[in-house]
Amino acid sequence: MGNNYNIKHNVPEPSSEDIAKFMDFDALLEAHRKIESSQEGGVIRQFTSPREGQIGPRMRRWIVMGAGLAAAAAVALLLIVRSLNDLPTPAQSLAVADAYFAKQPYVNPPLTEVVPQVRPIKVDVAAGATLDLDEGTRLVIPRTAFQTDRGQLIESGEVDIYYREMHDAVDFFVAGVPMSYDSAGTRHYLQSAGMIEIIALQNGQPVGMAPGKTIRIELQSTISAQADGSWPSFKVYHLDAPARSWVFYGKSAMLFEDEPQAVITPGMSIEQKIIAEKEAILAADPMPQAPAKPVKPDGKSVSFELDLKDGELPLEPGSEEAVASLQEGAIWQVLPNSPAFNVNALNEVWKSARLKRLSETAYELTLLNDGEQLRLLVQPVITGKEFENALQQYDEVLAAYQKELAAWEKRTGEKIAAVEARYLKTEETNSNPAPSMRRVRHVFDINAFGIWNCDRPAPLSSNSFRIRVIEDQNGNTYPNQTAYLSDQSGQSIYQLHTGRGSTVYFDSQKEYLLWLLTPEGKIALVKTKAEWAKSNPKKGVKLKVQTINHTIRNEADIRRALNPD
Amino acid sequence: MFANLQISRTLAKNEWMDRSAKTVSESALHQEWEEIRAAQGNPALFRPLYERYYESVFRLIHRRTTDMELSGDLCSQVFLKALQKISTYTFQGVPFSAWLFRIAVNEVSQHYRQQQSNRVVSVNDLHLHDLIDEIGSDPEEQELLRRKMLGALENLKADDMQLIEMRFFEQRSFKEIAEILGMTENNAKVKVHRILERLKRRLSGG
Repeated sequence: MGNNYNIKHNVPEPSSEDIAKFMDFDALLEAHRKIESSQEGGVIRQFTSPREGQIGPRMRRWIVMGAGLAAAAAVALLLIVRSLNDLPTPAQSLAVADAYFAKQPYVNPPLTEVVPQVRPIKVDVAAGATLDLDEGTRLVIPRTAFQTDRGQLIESGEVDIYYREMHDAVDFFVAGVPMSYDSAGTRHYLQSAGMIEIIALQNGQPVGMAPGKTIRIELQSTISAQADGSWPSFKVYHLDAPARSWVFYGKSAMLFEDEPQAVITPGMSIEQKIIAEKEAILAADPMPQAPAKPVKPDGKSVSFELDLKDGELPLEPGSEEAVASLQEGAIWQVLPNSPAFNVNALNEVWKSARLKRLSETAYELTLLNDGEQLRLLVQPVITGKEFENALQQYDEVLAAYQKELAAWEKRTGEKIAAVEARYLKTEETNSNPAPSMRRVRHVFDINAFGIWNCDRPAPLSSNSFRIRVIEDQNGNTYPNQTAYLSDQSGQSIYQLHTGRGSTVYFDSQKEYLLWLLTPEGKIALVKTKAEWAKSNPKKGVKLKVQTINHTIRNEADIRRALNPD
Repeated sequence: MFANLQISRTLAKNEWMDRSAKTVSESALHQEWEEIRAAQGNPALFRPLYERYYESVFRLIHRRTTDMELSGDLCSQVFLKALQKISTYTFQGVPFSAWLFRIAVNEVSQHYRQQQSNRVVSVNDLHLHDLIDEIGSDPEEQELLRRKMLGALENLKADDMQLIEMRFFEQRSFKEIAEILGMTENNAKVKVHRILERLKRRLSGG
């Protein structure tokens, strides 16, 4: 492979304001005139005769050289004075910052005394568990999901699960978790929709996850709409602390928990607003689903009996809902698109089963044994006399469904008509501000313990300023430590070095809080100002931080210090 | 895989579009020619052209350096050269910006030759990442595809990279590329097509 280029990824575009700082037409004109005059000077000298003036060419050369040397000395002096005041180059400052952070632990809680209290949750290893936590999050732990640190499968006993969530900048600050993410050499920061830390112990000893096992996380959080009113999607990253990096793991599925609401943005036309509200009404009150008509075996496909309702075969956690939807007396017919399998496998003894409903009629059935599994796509079918009974029941259910459908049509029709009438009354209304927050559940499977982040990477902002010095109200300066930067959304936290010339990336349209910890364990902070984006990059900005006179004893103290209003 | 490039272009369009890269009308071209003639007579009248094109020239350079200070220096050189040579500029029916961009591209090339270092090429990775997400569900496979594409780009000749960069990473029209690089529009299209065919072969070849 050749290496002809230095490919850089996602380099932020400089802002117009940043570019404008380099514009100087007068200097350009001056440089142009100097070049022109030097060329003209050469021509004039050719026409100057020593006999016509009192100064000969040799003497004139010395005068010109002397003047030139004096000018050069003046320029050099000016440059020296300027360079004493100028900041180091951005590359030099970045090198200092990188060297500083390389010496710090990657996960570095700044206040060791502010340790979040986490209570263990006991889980029966053999049975697995579905844990509905106070945070609103659900963990689905499969059976025999753990192994010792020597790789031995743990088949019985209890395991203590320690779990905590981090949702905002204060949580990330307390945890000391870095949020920067390097993708192909370009620095991003992670905007989190929720972060978790999960570990497991048995008899006080850490345990790992057994190969092939995953824990399903259904993380509840609140997300904000994007500027265009749409909802962002998120990815899942695992913190690899020894490698000092976040590792991309996959995408998370996002389920909306609250009732969908119309997202009305200021630029929308009335027609768009009506459509948005109609969609919200239909999402909140969806059309009733038609019942599935009983189906007879087709006589060609493999079918088998397996009653999952009688409790003889233990069910894996998460199967309950699918099992409840099964009709009495149904047997299973293997669907044509099911993975190929050996029919004799159906005669084997299986230790447990997992059932997942895929559609109105299709299910995924997984039969499990020690280290072995059989995955089938199946459909419940009904035979003989029971089919006639089911068909009769279906007619009754269908009649109820049709009644329910009529009621739904009337109900939603009235709501939609009311929306249309409301908008028709006024030409334009801004009285329905966009509900910009939604409660969601991020669903993803993890295959290891540690810190997991449900987030999306964002490039560094194109606005920036450079730190000249950070000084508090008492004249103390903080030239070599970590500072933290977070905007009002609190979705991320950006760690930066406080050294001379450090670059701080920020969106000048937003307000950020920049803070650091004083040696006394107090928080010193300052709010960013938009005009800093226009500051001279060679001179930087002097940051006047305010030390908050609170003693930090717990997380609440930190929140109080960072939100003094 | 070839189709991905097309999607990538669409996704990246707004982000990389230069304000000055849009089509210039006939009347605007003639009005601009009047400004150029005025500047040819009096360098102080170069100011409107400088103010109009400074940002787009700076951005073109910044994408090839990613260094603000260096971009500022090179941009100053470009306009100084433009001002020195403006007396030789003749109206050929193409925007003045194309002439400035050509000087800028040459200035950047000269800088890297002098430094004997590899030229910077700015690629929008987030869009590339999302694009690869679209074609494969396995993250490892996506990463492989991404690496293959970057490897193939690394092997392009300087002139070929210039074309791919302008067409795909900067979203310029063939007409504008032709104006900047001093070739016919059809020639630009044929060259880009051939480069894409080569990239496609390299990607599918593993």
